[in-house]
Amino acid sequence: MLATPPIPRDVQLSLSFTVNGKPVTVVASPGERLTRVLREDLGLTGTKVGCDAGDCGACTVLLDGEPVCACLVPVAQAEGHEITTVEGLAGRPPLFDRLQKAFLQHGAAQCGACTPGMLVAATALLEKHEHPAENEVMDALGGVLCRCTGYRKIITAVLEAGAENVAPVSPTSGCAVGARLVRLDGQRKVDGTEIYGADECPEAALAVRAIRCPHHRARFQFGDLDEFVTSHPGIHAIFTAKDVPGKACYGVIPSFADQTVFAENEARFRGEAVAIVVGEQAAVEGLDLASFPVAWDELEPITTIDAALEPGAELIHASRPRNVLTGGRVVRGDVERALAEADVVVEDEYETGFVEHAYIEPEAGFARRVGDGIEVQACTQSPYMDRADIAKILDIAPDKVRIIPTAVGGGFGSKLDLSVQPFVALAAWHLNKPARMVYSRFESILSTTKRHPARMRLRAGASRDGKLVGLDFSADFNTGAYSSWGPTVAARVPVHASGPYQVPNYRAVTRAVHTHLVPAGAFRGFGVPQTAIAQEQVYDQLADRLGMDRLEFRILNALDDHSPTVTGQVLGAGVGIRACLEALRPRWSAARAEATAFNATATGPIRRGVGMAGMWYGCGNTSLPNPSTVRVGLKADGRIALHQGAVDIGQGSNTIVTQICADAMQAPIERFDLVSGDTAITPDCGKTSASRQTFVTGKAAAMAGEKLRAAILQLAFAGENAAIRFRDHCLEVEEGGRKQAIHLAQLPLDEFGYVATAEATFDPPTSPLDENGQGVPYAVFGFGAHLAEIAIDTELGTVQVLRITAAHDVGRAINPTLIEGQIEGGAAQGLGHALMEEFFPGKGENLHDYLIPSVGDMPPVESILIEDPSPVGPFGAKGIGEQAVIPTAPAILNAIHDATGVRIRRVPATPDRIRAAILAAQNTRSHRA
Amino acid sequence: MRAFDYVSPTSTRQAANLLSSTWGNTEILAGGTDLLALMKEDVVTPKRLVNIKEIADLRGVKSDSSGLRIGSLTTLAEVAEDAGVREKYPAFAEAVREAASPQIRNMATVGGNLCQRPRCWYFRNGLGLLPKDESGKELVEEGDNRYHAILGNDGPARFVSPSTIVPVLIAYGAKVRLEGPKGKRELPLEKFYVIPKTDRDREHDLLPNEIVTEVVIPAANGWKVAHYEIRQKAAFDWPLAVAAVALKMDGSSVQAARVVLGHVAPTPWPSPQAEAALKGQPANEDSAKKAADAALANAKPLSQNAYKVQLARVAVKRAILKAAGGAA
Repeated sequence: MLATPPIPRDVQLSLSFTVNGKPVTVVASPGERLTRVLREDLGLTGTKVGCDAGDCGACTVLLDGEPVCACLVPVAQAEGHEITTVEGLAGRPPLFDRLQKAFLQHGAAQCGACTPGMLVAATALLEKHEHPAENEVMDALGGVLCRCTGYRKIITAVLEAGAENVAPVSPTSGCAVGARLVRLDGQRKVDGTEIYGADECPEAALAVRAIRCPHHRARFQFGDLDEFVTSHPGIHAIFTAKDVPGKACYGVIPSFADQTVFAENEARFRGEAVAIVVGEQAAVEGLDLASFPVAWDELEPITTIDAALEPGAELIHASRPRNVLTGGRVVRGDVERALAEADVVVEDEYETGFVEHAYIEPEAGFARRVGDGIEVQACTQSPYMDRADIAKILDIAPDKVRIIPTAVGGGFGSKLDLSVQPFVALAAWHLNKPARMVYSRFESILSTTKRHPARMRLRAGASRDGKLVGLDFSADFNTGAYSSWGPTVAARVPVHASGPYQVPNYRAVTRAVHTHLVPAGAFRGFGVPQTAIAQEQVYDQLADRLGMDRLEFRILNALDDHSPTVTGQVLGAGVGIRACLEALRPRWSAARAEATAFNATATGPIRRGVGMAGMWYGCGNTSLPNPSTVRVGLKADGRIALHQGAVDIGQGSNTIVTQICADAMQAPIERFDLVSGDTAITPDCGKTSASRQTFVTGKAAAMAGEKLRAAILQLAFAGENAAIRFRDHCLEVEEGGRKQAIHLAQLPLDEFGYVATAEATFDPPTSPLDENGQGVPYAVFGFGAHLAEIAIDTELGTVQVLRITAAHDVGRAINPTLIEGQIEGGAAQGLGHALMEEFFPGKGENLHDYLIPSVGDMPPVESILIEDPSPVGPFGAKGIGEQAVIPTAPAILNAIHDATGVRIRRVPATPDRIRAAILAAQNTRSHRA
Repeated sequence: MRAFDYVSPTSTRQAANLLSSTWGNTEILAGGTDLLALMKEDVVTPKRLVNIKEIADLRGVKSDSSGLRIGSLTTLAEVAEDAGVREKYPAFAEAVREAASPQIRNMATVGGNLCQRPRCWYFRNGLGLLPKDESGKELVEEGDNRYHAILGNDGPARFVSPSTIVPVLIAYGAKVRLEGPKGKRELPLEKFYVIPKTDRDREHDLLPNEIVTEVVIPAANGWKVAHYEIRQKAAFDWPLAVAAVALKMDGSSVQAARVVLGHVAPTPWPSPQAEAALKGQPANEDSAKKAADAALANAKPLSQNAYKVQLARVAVKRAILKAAGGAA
């Protein structure tokens, strides 16, 4: 038999295969990836593309029943085979039905971007073994990365899928707060219908591709751009800096705005955009960008903090002397004197590297021009900030810009900054055609913000009786080429560097320093996780020097309701750190005894260790206004529309804010319809960051709910204790045995189309900090402490975390399942930060060189929820998102020291660093001997 | 990804004829797990893809007098599930199970695993196998080389051989069979890997129009074999060091040994020094440690990868002890 003749390039082929049980025929070039054909040609967007390289598993589908990465299947190889996507699993009852319910019940889906891949991989396993063991589940899910959950709830859901499902919680009126309610947006995440940034595309949308600087720093000059457009059929335009209507810089913090859509003349970091090419999708994707007419003149970059601060160093921004973006300072008492008089003083230095957010969904979205306005639909954490910046860029009024946030496949801070939005907006604006852009994983890692690398110096002192007397902290943060959230990190860190302890004499000074590297911005904790790595390791050393138990040392020094913080704030109530630390006591004693016993008899290279760390974190902006406005309306049909603009990036605000509003109204939660954070229809709830949504937007929702209830009672001339029963098209108000019905259809509709509407704004009460950083930076703090148990292979320097116990004071647990999800996911990111995660600009801009924990790396996490209510938060609630990540890394690092006696001062604690520390310690010992 | 011709031959002979006799023009597509990533990043830009997955002869595991014959298109998942492999070559089965992820193992083939390109981040960024900048400065030596070679690195090649299953196959004495325009040939697997000296060289003894058809593993009678892998992550991670060891015991002492390291050199790295150190010795902690020291005696770490010497040493020691303790 002869070979089929070669199919010439660019020739499309008619290929037939089965998808979800139905025969399909597509016309595609044979090397087209199956993901693309499924998503773009067949509209099956449940299959997600996270990396296009087989590293993340988000695109897992079944090929003849076996899980494969659809991104690595050339469509021609699918010919004649049977493909099943997440959408097709619905046809596999009852197993898939039970699996979906278990995912919802256990909170196994947060952002949901990995969920289809997890569900497909789990289904393949469960169809072979109905009751798999935990290690079989872990093996089966080992190829799908999740950045939100910390995997444990996913494992539980798969293990429990075989069991009879428990009926979901359905709280009665007034009892939603505290209930383990299934997330209200959960169903879409487990059936593959959730719409993320890349999942919608208007008809005939043009594709946008960015030209990015390949060097850390380069001057550049364009060649003949017009000729490039005319010689490439299907390419419509190239846009560069001169095409941007608004000449003002943009940036997430207006007073530090320094970014332009495109670099002009000189690019300041590898990955900075200098132009976009816009055209028909096939033409744009088929471009060989090596032929793009731009000449780069590579310049010597400044890549380190030291080089940037060197006297006489070139300035990265002419207006910022010494390359210092800004600094922060908090001073209280007399630290020099306190340290001079302290009985023990520990001095130390710590360093951390760039950390990549590594959410599973790369940035994506589209824009279209609507009359004299523009609509941008994209993944974002901050719709109103996007609106302001797009208005600036296009030089139009903010109300001409409509931002429609899609579901967000993980954000963790990086999707607070603009990504695709300026490019698609500009293209759609100029060409008057919809324009769409989907970042590749490479582009996402290359160009979006990172966690700040930090270099921290500390001197801490204590008195013989174990009281902390002073801390002197200074830190420099590598903030990269542009400001992004550098000022926030510089301001937040000095407030938090004491940790949740009483430190009467204190000095914390920070600087954010520019370099020619990717901008460092917001990442879960805004610099506080780095700070905790230093401060909590120094406190362990102090306790050891004092001969005190490390946990008891912290309990002795813990802040209380009446002690002043380092900014002089007295919280008065809701300071739950002591309760968190005390909650760890039983496990702390048991774990230490177990580790000691293990090590006493260990003959091999494995040693066990136990470490702990505390944390606090102020919810909301630091001494700056950050209001949320929530609108809630009663519809004529008796349902309640909740306009809450907090973007749910997986953390659960859609559910939490509704639970709060429902109880404030004393209305059943089933009555609520969620209205999205679209800037055209929902008021500003600020950004999803700084652990502020439960607290700030939740409080606004509580106030709005109470107001609407009052308005309804007023309609019935009833007092505030009357009960309202919500029926279809009708309300029943009952007071003192007197019942009356309100027929909603008879009432006039207001400007929003509701029979009654209430709106409320909440801005946390704070005060500006004075020149010594004294004042009230936050109205509410969250507190917590983690305990990590590890096993370390001393010959290799590899660490296995065996168990994490996490106690958090959340004020009031609005939804315990979602809170546990935040804690477990935070612990996973903390574990990654401690042990494996570091991004090297220019190297490994992908998810196989950049390591994040996979399912086998995560130990069980026991969450202990402490409820010491905040007088300000809704129902006493505090934030949890960032709190959860902060203490994990220092707890692990303290456990490494506990096991080996070596202290890791540069994270991540990779095998090379741990081994070097062990060798150095051995050498010191042998020299002494 | 750039456009290319696509052809699906149904025999090895046809496939060989469709492949160009010079590198760069054509590529073989099998599981696609490595090739598609390389093409996406423009590291390879073939003008034609030859899809060999329709060649039925290249699939499956067979057993005959020469031992176990594994067709090059057999997927890693099929190998890991194969009863014969699990029973007679458990260390090989273990290495396969530890490779990549379930999804990748369902797609990736044995032949593709043998032929996969290095993970070196300079290579993957399109800077070549022997990356140099415009002034001729060697990028690996001057740059970030934390994952690069510690052995066999005195030439310009400093990447590490990426396969995690090849060291144990070599320890089992496996051979690779190839078919090309000039017919068939068979090589001991270790001879299939070469250290490139110039930009024109490849890391495999493979002609551009030759196809890996089969891996043959001789009967492991009397050999106790073990595979040991050191990774940062529990799973789905390229290892920092791999060691595979086969021991033939004479009573309590080692009659013959094969020791092969992986992820430490531009090729899988058999260590005659370690083998000699073990010969005639009992297989215990002390001899394992001496053999491990011998295996790494000639290591020359680069500026950032001295830690790998220790990791490789421990991998060798533990693989020896594991082999001594376990069955074949």
